[in-house]
Amino acid sequence: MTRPLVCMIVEGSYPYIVGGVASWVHQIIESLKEFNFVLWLILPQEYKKRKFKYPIPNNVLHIEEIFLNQSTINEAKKYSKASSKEKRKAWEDVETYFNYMDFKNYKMFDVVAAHLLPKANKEKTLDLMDLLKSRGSFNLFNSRYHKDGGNVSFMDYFWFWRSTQTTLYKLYDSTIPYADLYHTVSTGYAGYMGALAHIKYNKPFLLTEHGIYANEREDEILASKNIKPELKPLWIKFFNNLCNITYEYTDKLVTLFEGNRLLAVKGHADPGKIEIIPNGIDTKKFTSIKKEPSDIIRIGIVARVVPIKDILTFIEAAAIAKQKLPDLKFYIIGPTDENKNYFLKCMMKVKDLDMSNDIIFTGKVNMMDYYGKIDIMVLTSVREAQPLTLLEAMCVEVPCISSSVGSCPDLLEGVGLITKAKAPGETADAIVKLAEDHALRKALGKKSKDKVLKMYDIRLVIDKYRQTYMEMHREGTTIGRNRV
Amino acid sequence: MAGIGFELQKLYEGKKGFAKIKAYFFATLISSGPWIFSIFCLVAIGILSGTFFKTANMGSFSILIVYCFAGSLVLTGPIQFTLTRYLADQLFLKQTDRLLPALSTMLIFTAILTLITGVGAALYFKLSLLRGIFGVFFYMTISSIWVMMDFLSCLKNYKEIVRAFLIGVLITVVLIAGNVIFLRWPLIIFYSLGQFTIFILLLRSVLKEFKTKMLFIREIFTYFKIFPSIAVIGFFYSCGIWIDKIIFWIIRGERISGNFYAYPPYDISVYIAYLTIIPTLAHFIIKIETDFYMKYRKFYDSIIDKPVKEIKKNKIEMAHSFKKSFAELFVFQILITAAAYYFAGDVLRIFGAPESFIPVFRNLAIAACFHVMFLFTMIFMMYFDLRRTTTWIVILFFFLNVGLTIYSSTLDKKYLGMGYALSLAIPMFIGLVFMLIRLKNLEYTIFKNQPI
Repeated sequence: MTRPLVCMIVEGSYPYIVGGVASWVHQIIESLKEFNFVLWLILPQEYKKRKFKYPIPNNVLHIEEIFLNQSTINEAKKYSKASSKEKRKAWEDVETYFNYMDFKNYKMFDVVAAHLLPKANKEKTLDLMDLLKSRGSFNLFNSRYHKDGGNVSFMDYFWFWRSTQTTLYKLYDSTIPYADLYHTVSTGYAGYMGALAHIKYNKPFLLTEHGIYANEREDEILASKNIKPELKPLWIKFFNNLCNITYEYTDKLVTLFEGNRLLAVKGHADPGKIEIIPNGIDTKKFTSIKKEPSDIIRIGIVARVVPIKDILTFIEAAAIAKQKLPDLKFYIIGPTDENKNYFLKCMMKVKDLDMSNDIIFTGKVNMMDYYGKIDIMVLTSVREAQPLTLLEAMCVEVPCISSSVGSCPDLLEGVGLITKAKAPGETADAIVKLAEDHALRKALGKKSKDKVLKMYDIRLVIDKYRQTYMEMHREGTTIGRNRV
Repeated sequence: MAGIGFELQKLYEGKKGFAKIKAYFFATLISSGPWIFSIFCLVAIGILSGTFFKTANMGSFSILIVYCFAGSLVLTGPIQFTLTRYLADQLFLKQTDRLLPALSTMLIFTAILTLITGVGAALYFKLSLLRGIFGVFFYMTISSIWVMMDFLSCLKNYKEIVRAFLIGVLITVVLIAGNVIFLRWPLIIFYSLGQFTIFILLLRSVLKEFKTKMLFIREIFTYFKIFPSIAVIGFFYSCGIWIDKIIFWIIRGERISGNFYAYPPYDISVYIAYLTIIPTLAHFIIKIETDFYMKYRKFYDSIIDKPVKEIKKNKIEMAHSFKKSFAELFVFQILITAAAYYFAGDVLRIFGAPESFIPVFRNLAIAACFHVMFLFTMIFMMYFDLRRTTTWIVILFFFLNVGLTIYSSTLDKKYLGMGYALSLAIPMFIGLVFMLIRLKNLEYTIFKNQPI
């Protein structure tokens, strides 16, 4: 019997960018040898010189890539050959679909998708030129413009509209790989693709939500200087719709912890579809790490140097703590090349606070060499799902301090210290508290390790996914058979 | 290109009571300068020498002038239209340093073309050496003036243009008067020298206003490739205007001299009938195009950064301006045409033409009315870049004129000119319908034409 084929849809990370979600995907694929995988990557633009940062496991049969940027749109003027009557009906459906979405109803998506995807032996009702230039598209544009308030300038709204249409067209126009199960690790474009694939092949569709995509996008949009303020609500709404479509069409939604489950429910996901499966780590790898004692207390933050991790707060906290306890050394452990501007800002801050001798940027390193050298682990992130580094440090008996984001309070409950996000003073106090109290460090470290072994072992997670895949695949085949 | 219109409007809006009349006078000269000049000179020559319009016969001098007019207008049509588009684009892009090289390039191009065709024509028409040389010289000069005419409308200094025409007329009249009294050489010598004076004076005023280091610009030739439709429009438009006259010369014409044929009832009536459109042209320059152009700019500017509500408001204003303008021009022209129709006998008498021309003249007055409205329709269509439609209706005009003229020449004399009137009226109304459709769908057209 051939192994069932799972199509894993990943947006913008694995296997090009190293990170929590990417590592998670890698681990799932690598561990679930009884399944074959197709990787479907949605990337912002064509990476010419980029290399895979992860070795591709041998149960990955095929990798398909979609680049969202406009320049790769085929300029051939494609109007569908469907009759004008069919087209008129299609535009009516699209109009209804948009109007329903205004009331948080996403049920029309499959009707619309049927017009946009090529059918068995018939071409799609609406092709690129229909979407961009036809009278129907203009009428829709007009009615959306007015429903969206009608105050934005025509050109601004036009380019917003045009870029959403061309981007989504890339998704309709791609060849959707056939698979027995579709698994996406975020909502957004990846989730939207999953929904399309689910509609096209009528195969089960699983969503694992690490962070809340809609919220992450919203933060990015609100902070962006490149987007005009009056367009921000439109972009936020656009991404919200992508996420809600994913929620509507997924058969099962997995979140990492209770907090995210509540957010998903708030985002109109059906609570009946949601299951919590926390993240886990390969505990065996970490329990064997030897601690390397030192005279000074070493404090580490394990994070990429990017704004979301709020390294600046960590640096400020370090400076405050250093004033109280001179025998401290700080390590910022993680790649610095992802956001060069932010890295520069961090280095300036270190210099301004005169901490150049006490704060060390290690760059990308093998963490296995570092957990043994840290006495206290700190996270200052403004947004997290369920950070694996925290679990890893806990597993090596390193006492942890974290900002109160994502599942961190749950993870550290009873075994670590929680601070407010963006509160350097509070973080510094926690660092001082642990640094001064050797016994407390030792006790918390021990408890941390026990907790991880009991609740957050990767084998538990993988078993749960194996089981989920099996169940969904079985149901999918039955559904398929019944339909035939 | 309403540049000079705005200057004239300033004058029109001025406080002096005389200003309005002055503005119309200037606009008249700018819109129809060479036309009025030629009529004025021919009338003067007629008075001085007693040859023109006195009888139904045309002298060998006037026939030469008419042929030169026809040839030069047909030949420069595509050049004029393409150059106008180029000038408009460069003005829009504020690259004014390219205007003068474009003009000089086109003038040289025209000079070469007209020299070749002129010498060929002189040989064909078997002109004497002296008349041949000055005939070609005249033909080259007025062709250059046509090419320059569109350039004049983007100048600000209208007074210099007026002065150029007045001095030209004066010199011509003085020279011809002297010739009639003393020399009795062929009139074409003095007439062409007068035109040449005008050309030089106009060129001087152009050089005053635009400065450049370049003399040539190749880019202008690429315009013939990029916008072939514009050259096609220019060609069929100028051919269409003359084809009915040429057909009558061939079918009903009488030999004047050499290979020159004329059909005086038609030729003279056309000349006089076209005088009726001059006030409307002046009115268009001063009031209509400026008013419309402001609304037009406002609309297109608002597309860039204004919400749809405001764009819509501006569009309605612009569409209203267009409809009002068109109706106003049409009514204005109909009133003049009606007067010319009613007083046909008196008008003809002033120009010394016989009463037998009355039916032809009346038909041609109606044709002139439709001609000016057809011209306005085309101008408005070009504002909305309806190039393809314009091309088709101009081609339609040409072929209608050929067909209907041939047909009408088989009918009774009183129908002469009706073919011409119809072949202008039909494309005009078609163009108007397309124009209204375009205005109605303007937002969609803009939406559709955004680049991918």
